Amino acid sequence: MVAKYEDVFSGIFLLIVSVIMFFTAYSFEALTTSLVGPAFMPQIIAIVMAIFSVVIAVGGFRKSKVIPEEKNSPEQHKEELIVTEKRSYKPVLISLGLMIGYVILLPYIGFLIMTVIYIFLQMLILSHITHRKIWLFLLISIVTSATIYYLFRNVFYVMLPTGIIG
Amino acid sequence: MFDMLFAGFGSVMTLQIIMLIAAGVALGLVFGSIPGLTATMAVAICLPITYGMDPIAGMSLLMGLYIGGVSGGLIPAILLKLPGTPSSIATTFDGYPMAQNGEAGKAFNYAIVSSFLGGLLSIIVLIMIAPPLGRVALQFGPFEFFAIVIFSLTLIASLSGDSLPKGIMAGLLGISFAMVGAAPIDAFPRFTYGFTDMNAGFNLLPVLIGLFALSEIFISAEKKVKKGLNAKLSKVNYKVSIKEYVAQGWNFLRSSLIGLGIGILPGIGGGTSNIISYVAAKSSSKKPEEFGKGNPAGVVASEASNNAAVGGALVPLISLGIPGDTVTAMLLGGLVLHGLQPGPLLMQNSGDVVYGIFAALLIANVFMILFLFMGMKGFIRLLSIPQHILYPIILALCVVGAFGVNNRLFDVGALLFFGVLGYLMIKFGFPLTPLVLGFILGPLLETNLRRGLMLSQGDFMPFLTSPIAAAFLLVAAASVVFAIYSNHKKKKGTSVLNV
Repeated sequence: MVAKYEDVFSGIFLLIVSVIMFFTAYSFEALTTSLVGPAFMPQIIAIVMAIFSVVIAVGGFRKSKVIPEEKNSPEQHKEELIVTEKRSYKPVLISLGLMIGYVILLPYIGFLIMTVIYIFLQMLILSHITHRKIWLFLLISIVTSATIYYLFRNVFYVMLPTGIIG
Repeated sequence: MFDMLFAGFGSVMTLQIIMLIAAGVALGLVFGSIPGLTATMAVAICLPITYGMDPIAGMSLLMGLYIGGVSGGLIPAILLKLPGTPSSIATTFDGYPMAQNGEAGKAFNYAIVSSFLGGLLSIIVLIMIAPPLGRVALQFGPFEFFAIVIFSLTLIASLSGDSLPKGIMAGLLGISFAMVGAAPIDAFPRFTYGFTDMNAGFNLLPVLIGLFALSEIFISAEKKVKKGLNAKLSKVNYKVSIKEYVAQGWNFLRSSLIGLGIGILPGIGGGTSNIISYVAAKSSSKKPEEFGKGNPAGVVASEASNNAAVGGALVPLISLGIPGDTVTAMLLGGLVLHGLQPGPLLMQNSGDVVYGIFAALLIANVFMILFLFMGMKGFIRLLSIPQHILYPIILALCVVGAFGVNNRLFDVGALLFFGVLGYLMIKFGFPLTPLVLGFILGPLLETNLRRGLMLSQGDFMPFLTSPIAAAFLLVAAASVVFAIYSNHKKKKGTSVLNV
């Protein structure tokens, strides 16, 4: 369903973005006395973007009438050899949520602890159920986090957030 | 020129830098060989390591990664029919059949030697043409630079992906994202929507790491891979006779030149050059029917051209500050991080660093051939490390990298944003490379346009009457016409790349 209308959706979305862009640029004030101010380029780009988003949407609409629902590319066929479960968007969303949580809590809890938690959970999400070696994952996440933390703070001088253990 | 090159060697011939180059090549080979990990990712996660180094040491490490990352892809391409990087897609066509025929060692030999020689040739060409080109570019004013940027932009749009409108759209999106923050010349904050964090705009590194590394992690989350890759190589017979090498001479030279030429053009790089060289080798062969069944010429064509693209891609980066592919876009970020200004002035102001980079490339190329011949077994064993262990560690390193740019969490947020954007673009069939090129070239375009108009007091004519600018605009127009023509032809079913 989405695959069939993907170009229509993305075209319409980008058209909306370009319209917002065009009108936002009206508020840009020229601070120099020049013919071309800070609003010139954004508006030109917005107009061109709008044109191409229509091209993409119309092309996608035409395509959706020609090709049948399922497209079976040879690439997908090749993947079947090593993939056991069907493609699913749930782990993608969970991963994204996990990353957002990781980044938000980073300054409060600190890099060391949050990275152990993040790496461990992310490994659980990405691995197949038959490959979940809990103790190995835990060991890897602790060793990795500690190595990165001490290496970057003490050798490469990147001041990672210390959080509660600082 | 030679005294500068000797000085360059002098500055990298310290134990620390040699070790860094060797480590870079080894890590690059690991990243190149594991499918799903790319040279771009290797450079991305190593950039933060270079923060504390001096520029020559840092750039030397990155050059090692670049050479290693492009070369490592040949291992899984030959053994598993899985290209480790997009640069080795064409290597699978004949390399894998060769391995199936029991000639894996021979295929490795051809691939490694052509990688080395292709790389060497392109580095020599780079050293010969980048400095004079940079000197010519020093004479360029805003009109000429504007035209060159327009030319570069039309190239990315015309030669990336299956869909021309989507390629152009990705480029436009890149230009738009680059507009966030202070405008060039008068520094009016644009598209910040009241967030002061946005005033400085998006930093190049989080954009790149997000688009190319994070998106891969999301893609891999979609499907769960049950078993790790299983590659075995019991005994290897590397033997290839001198006569067999000589037979590939012309093929090697043609493929290297194709790689070099395509590498120089912005935005295309090794991912395309190997396929084009393969097609060229096949169509000029007397026995095209042997291709795809284990003809060494196919392996030589692919591997010579992808390594030759390395030197090619560095030509516009060093002489003009315009990246040739995604890795050089990352290297551009590396130069900026070390306080060097990419562009024609780079050669003049930081000639020592540029010649240090040249020397590092030559040394890295030697390490590459040594490591591949001596450590093949080790690299093959690494192929079996599963992605669900690698990707979480890579993300943690990406976060460190994004954070380390300015020590602020806004960049980490931007990293996540561009990761999601990259994922959505892949899902909706938009190519990523034009976005990066647009992001880098957009500000150059606007700055030179506005500077030019200030110079000419609002007159657009000098953009057309300057001979160099006019020539570049003409070539740009021609490449647009060609792109529309070939896109139209492709739709009719006669693909240009009929492999």
